[in-house]
Order: sequence, then structure tokens, then C-alpha cells
Amino acid sequence: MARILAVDDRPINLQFLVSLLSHDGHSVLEASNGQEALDIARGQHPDLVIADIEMPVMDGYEFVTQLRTDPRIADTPVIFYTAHAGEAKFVAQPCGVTQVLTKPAEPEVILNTVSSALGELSFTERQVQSAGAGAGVESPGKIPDALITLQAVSLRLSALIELGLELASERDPQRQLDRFCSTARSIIGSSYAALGILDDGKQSIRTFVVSAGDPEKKSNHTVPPAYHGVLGKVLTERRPLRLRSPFSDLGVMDLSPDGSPISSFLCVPLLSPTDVYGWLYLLDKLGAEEFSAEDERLAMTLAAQVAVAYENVVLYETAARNAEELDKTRRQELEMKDQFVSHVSHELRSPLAVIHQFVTLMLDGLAGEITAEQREHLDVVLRNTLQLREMISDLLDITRAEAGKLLFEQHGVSLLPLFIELERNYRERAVQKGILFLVQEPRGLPLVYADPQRLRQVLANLIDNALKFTERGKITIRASWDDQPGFMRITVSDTGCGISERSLPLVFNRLYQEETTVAQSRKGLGLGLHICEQLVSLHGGRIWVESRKDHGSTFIFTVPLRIEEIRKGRNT
Amino acid sequence: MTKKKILIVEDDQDMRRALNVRLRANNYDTAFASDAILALSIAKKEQPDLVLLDLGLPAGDGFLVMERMKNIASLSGLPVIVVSARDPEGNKDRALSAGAEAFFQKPVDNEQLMAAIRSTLGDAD
Repeated sequence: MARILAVDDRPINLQFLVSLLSHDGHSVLEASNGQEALDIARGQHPDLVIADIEMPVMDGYEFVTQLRTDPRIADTPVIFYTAHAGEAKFVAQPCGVTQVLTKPAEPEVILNTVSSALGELSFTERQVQSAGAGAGVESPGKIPDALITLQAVSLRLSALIELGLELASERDPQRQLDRFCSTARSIIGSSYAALGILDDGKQSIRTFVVSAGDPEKKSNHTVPPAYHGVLGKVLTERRPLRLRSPFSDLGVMDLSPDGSPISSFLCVPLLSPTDVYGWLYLLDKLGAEEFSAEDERLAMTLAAQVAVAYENVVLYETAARNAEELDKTRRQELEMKDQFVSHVSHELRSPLAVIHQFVTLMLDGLAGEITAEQREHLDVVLRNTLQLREMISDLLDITRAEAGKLLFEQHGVSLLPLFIELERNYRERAVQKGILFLVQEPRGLPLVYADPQRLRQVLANLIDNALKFTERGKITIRASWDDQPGFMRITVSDTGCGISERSLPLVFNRLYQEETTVAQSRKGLGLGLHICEQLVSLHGGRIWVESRKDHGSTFIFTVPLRIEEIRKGRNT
Repeated sequence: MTKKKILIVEDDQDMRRALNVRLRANNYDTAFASDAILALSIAKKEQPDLVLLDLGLPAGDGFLVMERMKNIASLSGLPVIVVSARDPEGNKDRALSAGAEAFFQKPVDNEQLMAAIRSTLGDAD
């Protein structure tokens, strides 16, 4: 017969296709994803491909698209065999897919589709023909009954596994129930399946889904009362019920969606470990007078699966709702904190401004001559006043950053004037301490994409720290290219006391303060580096430190380049 | 040459006093107002050359003072420098677009403030 390439990432599905197709006389090639399939197709030129859609490495759509562009194999017919046939149909046809089959399909349906795609007589037609040619003569195309049974079992098994996997990952309860209902109907083999979930009061049906082979039946259905006849019996007894026509008076006939007679009926309760919360019923067993005991067991297995999965989804929904509320509360709290800190910092600034004014009045000699010693003391007051002012700013900044309200505007910034300004502002303080202050001018470097105020703030914080913890040696500031393309690296290094290994991972934490061995006064709130980290990450960069106790510290942070510069870099 | 006059609109008495000493030391005349309504009546009476304006004030606020000044012919061209403890974020832009020459957050750098005053009044450094 023909050479067929079967593609599926689940081994059980692949095996099923291989055994089914080879029993119909085809030679079968196997691939577990689109890429493999493409390689095999190019090498072996199959007459037909039957493929799954969702696969790792390369999915079905991509596979067909690529197949159609290779002139040697572009004409190969492709059948999609997928659990999501509904969605696939719209996309598959334009891609050049011959047919979309819903998984799981009956073996006969698969074989008929394959035959028609190959332009051969269908499997069913061949059976009819061979039956006419002579009774009792085994035709080579006929599948032995035992094999069909085996295939049916395998089909059910794979459908069950597939359903389990899907239910576990589906987060939308409605789609989960739809999927469950149609799977139950197709693997048990009935013309109509319906599923009802009770509401919290357990008196009426909250959710009702239907699957029907005949679309008319699906659209015509009405929701039966939760405790209607047979259904009520299943709910109260919590046991499955299997009936065949003619029915004793339990209202079975009322369940017919279009008034047509019902030949057989199966209903199972949906049980969670603690409770019953719905039913599943099936009408009209296909190809038999009634549902079998095996069908009943299968339905119970499915029902248990859906009960657990559904409960999970409901729990997940509740959890998601709670998380959302929690998030809202947290945002409100941050907003309140922001308002509070904003108010407090305003209130603190007013008296601080008065202290500052009078200290500077005296220092400027506006209140009369002062002695050298008085000047020295007033300088101490002034320095602490300014420190308080910085602390108030930091407090407001950090609260803003945490509430996501820090105003921030990035544009192209040249580092050179910024570095020159920093040198001017800090050189004197460094010289007074007897340390070198080296600024390597960033010449020939591109503009960075930053908020200039905030960039200055980060550098000022780092330089302040360096000055604070360095008693001799030097402080160096420089800019260079970062390893990561599109980023500049700015480095502030000192020859100061360094950071102990124990403290190294903590320095960017909020409220962290390095313990000092020298009798130093408390300097700041310990927010400085935390603010630096927040500001750098707002820019899209990273900040880290390299340091060893007594061997100085090097703080490094990265800033993105202006977009145009990045583009230019890429093009050249 | 007559001294230029600066109206200090400030509800904090201590701050008023400190600014007064500094401005007089810099050869300016001063006048004071402690709330938004007084600011307008005293400005009309004193006809200052510049207003140092706080934002948080009783009986209104600094923005209200600026708004009203625009509608009073004798005050509509009067330059204003805002000196406030309020966060520059939001307030600075609002003050400048309301017509202020400059915005300083308290505690203010005196050199910068005096430079702004001199340049607003067109005085040589």
C-alpha cells in the first residue's frame, strides 16, 4: 500500500497509529516532532503524513509550512490528528492541511480518512467489497476482531491519559468540563453526553455542558432539574445507574434532547473524596443495545478524575481571587505609607529649615563675629543638618520606589559633564581627608539612556560611601563597556576598609549598615545602597559589589545605552 | 539708591526672622505676611519688588496667592520665588507654570537662593 509518516510526541499515540496503519498494509515511518518529521520527509518522501499539532521543538503548523516550501515534498498530503480539532480547523486549512481529525477517533475513521487522502477506496468500502466477494474469505485489508478490540482498549487508554494531562493543566473550568464531556462521550461511545455541576446549596444545577454527535441535539438541549427522576436517584444513592429500553418510569425519556426515543442510559455521580457535586449521563450506546459494565467502570474512573481536577480549578480560582485582593490591599497600604511619609518629610523639613537658616546666619557672621571654636561647633551642626536633609530625601525616595510612584524619565545623557560635575563636588572633601580622587573622563563613549537626576543620585551615593569608608589611598570613578551588549558599566572603587565576606550579600538590603570598628557616628539610615539598587534596576541595569575586608570595595553598575546607539551597534 | 523690597510670605515665625536677617544683611528691605490673605493685602500696601512665597499657608496656600495676584493689576507683574518644604515632585512644575521664577525646597541653599533673588531683580552679582 502506501508509505505513511506518523508524527506524535506521545509514544502511546505514536504506537497506536503505527500498529493501526501497518495492519492496514501500510509501511509506517515514525517521528516525535515536526523537525524530525521534516528530516524524514525530505529523505524518504512519504505518500502521506498524519501528524499531531502540539509538539516540542517544532509544532504541526510550522512543520506543514516548511513542508510546503520544499519543492520535492511540497505536494505530500497531511492529516492533522489533534485533540483540539475545533481550533485547528481554521488555521490548518490555509496551511495546506488536507484533513483535521479529532483525537481520539475510532480506528475505522482514521483508516477511512487515510484512504481517502491517498485517493484509495475507504477501509469501510473495501470491507463491504470483500464481504461481497465471498463470505468466509479473509481479506488482507480486514482487521481481525480481536485486534479491533485491542485497538479500542488502547484508544481508550490513551484518551484517558491525554484527558488526565489536559485536565491537570486546564485552568478554565468551563473548557475543562466541555473537554471532559466530549471525551467521555467519544471513548465510551454514545450519541449524547451531559454533565451537570450542583450549585453550593446542592439543590440546582449551576453548570451544564453537553456533547453530542449530532449538532442538532446539542443545540436543542434543556437543562434538566438536578434531582429529576433517575438523576436524583444517582445523586442520593451516590451510585452509578445503567438502564436499557424500555425504561420503567424514572423520567429517562424526558432527557431526550430532541424527543427522539432513547435506547440506553448510563449515569454516574461526580464524587469528590468528601461529597457529591454533580452527575454525568450518557444516552444511546453506539453499536450496542446497552452500556456495558466496562463502560460503567470507565465512566466512574472519568468522573473521579474530573471531580478532583474540577475541585482543583475551583480552589485555584479562589486562591487567585484572594491573591488579587491581597495585592489590592498591599497597594493601598503602600499608597497610605507613601502619603504618610510624604507628609512626615514635609513636617520634618520645616523645623530643619529653621535650624539650617540660623546656623548659616551665624556661620556667615550675620549675627556678629564668632570665634574659631564656635565656627567649628557650628560646622558640626550644619553637617548634621544636611545629613538629616539627605535622610529625609532617601526615606521619601524609597517609599516612592516601593509604591511604584518614583517619577522617572530616561533620555540620552552624556557621562562626561556628569563626571566633571562629580569631580568638582567631591574633590575637596577627598583632598581634606588626604585621599586621591580620580575621575577617568569617559571620552569617546556613547550617550547612556538614563534619568540624569537619578543617575547622579546613584553615583553620589556610591561616592559618599567610598569617602565615608576610605581613610587613605584613592577613590576612582570610571566608565567602560559592559560585557552585555547595549550596556555601559560605571565603576566606583576605593581603597577603604572593604566589606567582610559575611556582609557582602547584605549590602543592598534595606536598612543594612556596615558595622564599623572605628568609632564612627551613625551615618544615614542604611537606605543608600538599597536606593541605588532600586534606581539602577528602574533603568534596566544591574548593580553589584566586589570587595574583600581591608582591601577596598568596587561598586559596579550598568546603564543601558540610548536605543539609537544600540541599533547602530547592531548594524555595524 | 533706594533698597529693593522683598515680601516674605511665611507662616513660620522663626523662618521669617532668619530670612529677614539674611535679606537685610544683603541690603534688601523686607515686609512680612503670615497667611495667604494677608499676603495679598500687604503686597498691595507695600508694593514689594519680589515675593518669597511659602506654599503651605493658613487661609489658602501659595498657589492661591499666585492665582489671585494675577488678577490684581498692581500685583500682576510681581515676581515670585517659591520656598517650600513640599516635595519638588509635582509642586515645582506646578509653581513654575503658575508663574514662579524659581522653586527652592527647604532647607534651602542660601547662596543659590540669593543668586536667584539677585538675578530676578536684575541686580549685578
